[in-house]
Amino acid sequence: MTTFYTSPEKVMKSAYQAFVAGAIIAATAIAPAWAQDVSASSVQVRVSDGSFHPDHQQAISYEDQDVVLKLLQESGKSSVQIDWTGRPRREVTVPDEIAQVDSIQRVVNERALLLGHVNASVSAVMVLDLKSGSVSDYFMASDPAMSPDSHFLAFVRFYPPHSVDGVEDQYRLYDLSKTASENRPLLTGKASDDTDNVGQPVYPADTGEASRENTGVAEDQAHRLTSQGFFWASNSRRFIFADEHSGRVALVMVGVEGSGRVTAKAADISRLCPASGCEYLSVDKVIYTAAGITIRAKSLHPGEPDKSAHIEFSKLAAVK
Amino acid sequence: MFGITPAHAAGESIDAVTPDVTYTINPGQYIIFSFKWVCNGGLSGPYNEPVTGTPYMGGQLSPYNGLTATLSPNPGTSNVDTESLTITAANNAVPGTYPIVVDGVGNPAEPCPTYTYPQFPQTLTLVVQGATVTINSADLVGNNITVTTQGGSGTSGTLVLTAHGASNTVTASANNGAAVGPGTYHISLDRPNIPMDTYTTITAQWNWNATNPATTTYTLSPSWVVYGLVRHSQYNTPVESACTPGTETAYVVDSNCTFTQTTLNTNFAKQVYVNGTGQSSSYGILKYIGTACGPLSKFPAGATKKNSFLKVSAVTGSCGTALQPGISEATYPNPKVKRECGDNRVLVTSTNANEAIKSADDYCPDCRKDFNGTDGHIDNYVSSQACSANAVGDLGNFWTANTNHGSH
Repeated sequence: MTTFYTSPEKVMKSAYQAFVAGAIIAATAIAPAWAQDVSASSVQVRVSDGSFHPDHQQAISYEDQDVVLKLLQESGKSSVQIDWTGRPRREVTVPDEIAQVDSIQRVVNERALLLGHVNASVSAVMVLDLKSGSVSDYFMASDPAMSPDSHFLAFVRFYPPHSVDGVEDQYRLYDLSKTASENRPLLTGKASDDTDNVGQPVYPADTGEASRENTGVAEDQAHRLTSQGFFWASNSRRFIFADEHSGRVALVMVGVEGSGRVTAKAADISRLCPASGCEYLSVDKVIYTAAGITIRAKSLHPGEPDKSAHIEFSKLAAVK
Repeated sequence: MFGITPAHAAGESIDAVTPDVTYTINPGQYIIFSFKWVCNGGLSGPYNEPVTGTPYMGGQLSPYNGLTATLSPNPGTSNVDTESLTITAANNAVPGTYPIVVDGVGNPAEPCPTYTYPQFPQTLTLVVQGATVTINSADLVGNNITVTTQGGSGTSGTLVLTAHGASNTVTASANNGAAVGPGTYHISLDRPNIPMDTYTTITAQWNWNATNPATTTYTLSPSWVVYGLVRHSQYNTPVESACTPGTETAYVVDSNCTFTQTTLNTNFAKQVYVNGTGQSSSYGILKYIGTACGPLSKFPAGATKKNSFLKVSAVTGSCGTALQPGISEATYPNPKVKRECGDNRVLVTSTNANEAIKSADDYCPDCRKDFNGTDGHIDNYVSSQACSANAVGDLGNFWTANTNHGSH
């Protein structure tokens, strides 16, 4: 099966579409301009349109045959109402620093994933335990993209978005079936409340992630995401992104096993860099085929042509 | 093509073509001078003389610069009296001043002592007037392109501007597309509909003549870098006094990396951490500490990167300058790296009005994405006196262009 993700704004939606197991997705005709209804079979989901307007929180909800999740707002406080068939209604408070909630959806292991924003640049990730009606994890990230099977979340590790020198994108994977502590393999001791150093590093493998900071990194040493987020394959076994480092761009494919073990392979795609520089390259379309990946590389600098390329899986080299 | 015949009779043309008299024509016109070369004396007495030779145009043999001079009848093909000189300006004739010289010879069989009218060489001055168009200035912020057209009285035609990008062209006309005469015109562009591209030149075409319009090309320096419709999000410096009550232990760190234990508002500390800076009530501006004071292992017990903040004198962006609320903006790639610090960006509403003029002063890593259906993403610094980002939602989507790209 070929999966064609067309834009970063749709990654989350696409992931959800795959989650509903190939059912036909149709936007509700009466959906207001500021929200999107996604409906399929017995599942109804309402997510935000991606803009940041915390003073106009959109109506966010999720509903399947087992559970109804609804964002509630009262006196400036937000909470998630959990209505599980045959169980008592529960309510989970959303942390104050989440200025806007963008989506709530059920994931694996009777959990739900809430994605929001703490400001225009930083996402908040909250994992809810639907059984107990509690927060099982909470952290900050950039570019969170859930796998179609709702098992994993690829994201960029948090750093303050402004007035901080030498920021670096570090790519992480969160296993939604595991506990908060299990999702902090780089930390020891009491680490489950760390909202920063979360997830399993996926690329590059040799950076000494356990001690590597993601601020104060020399400009020519910093890794930067140069794709419009992460592009999951429909089988949730791999995802793709592009990384710029020292003036070169690599297309990185991360293989994910069910256990959460990851392997990264990469191919240099610097030939796709626009004349203005590799910083302007932005992979915005990915098509998975049986033998490889077709990508489109846009230039973020106006007036430069798009480029595309097909990379055979066999051309991707293991990252040491 | 139409012609002008100077008001003189044959044989009197000497008066009409004296060097101090200038004749003017436009491209697409011709002019006829009546000549009769009358030989005085010689073998046959006074007689009309066939003349041979080629007129010179501005020192060059005819034809030259779209001008052609011919003697008629052509003595080179028929031995008849030469009676006129015709100068034709083609549609593409180059405007200018041309001395015309008829440098001929009489009948060699009957040498002529003197000629009554005119003597050789015969000279006249011709001005090819034509029409010109000039782009004087092009101001995208003021949305004003000033164009001057020059030509003879009665010269008129539509005046069309075209801005040229790498893969797009945009046109605009003076006088709503109706014809205009000589004068100076201020032409505006429908900026919200200018597509994303880098525009390097503007051409003007004044269609005073269907086949020979006046044209000119104006080089935009610096180029206009049009980002198209861009999502403009906003960020602020959280203010401690605006936060709901509640305190926690924190550390304020000076430029010598001396940690001082204190208390800060709990929500404020969180906001400094997630935004990067904050305006405290007691310590001025505080900033995320990052690696400024070494690794965490060098921090005092209890101090973390979430509760330790650097004291700084100003909120600065990646360009190293103090951020100006309502003016500074954060962009991707880092303006410091791309030498775009201080580049001006004009934000234009859907009704073609200026919303703001901003300055690239900071880096926005997130702006590589989250376009939300637009062509780009820019984060704008604002002065909101709030504790968090709740009060600083998106500014909106605006057509945006960089008007001095790379000029710093």
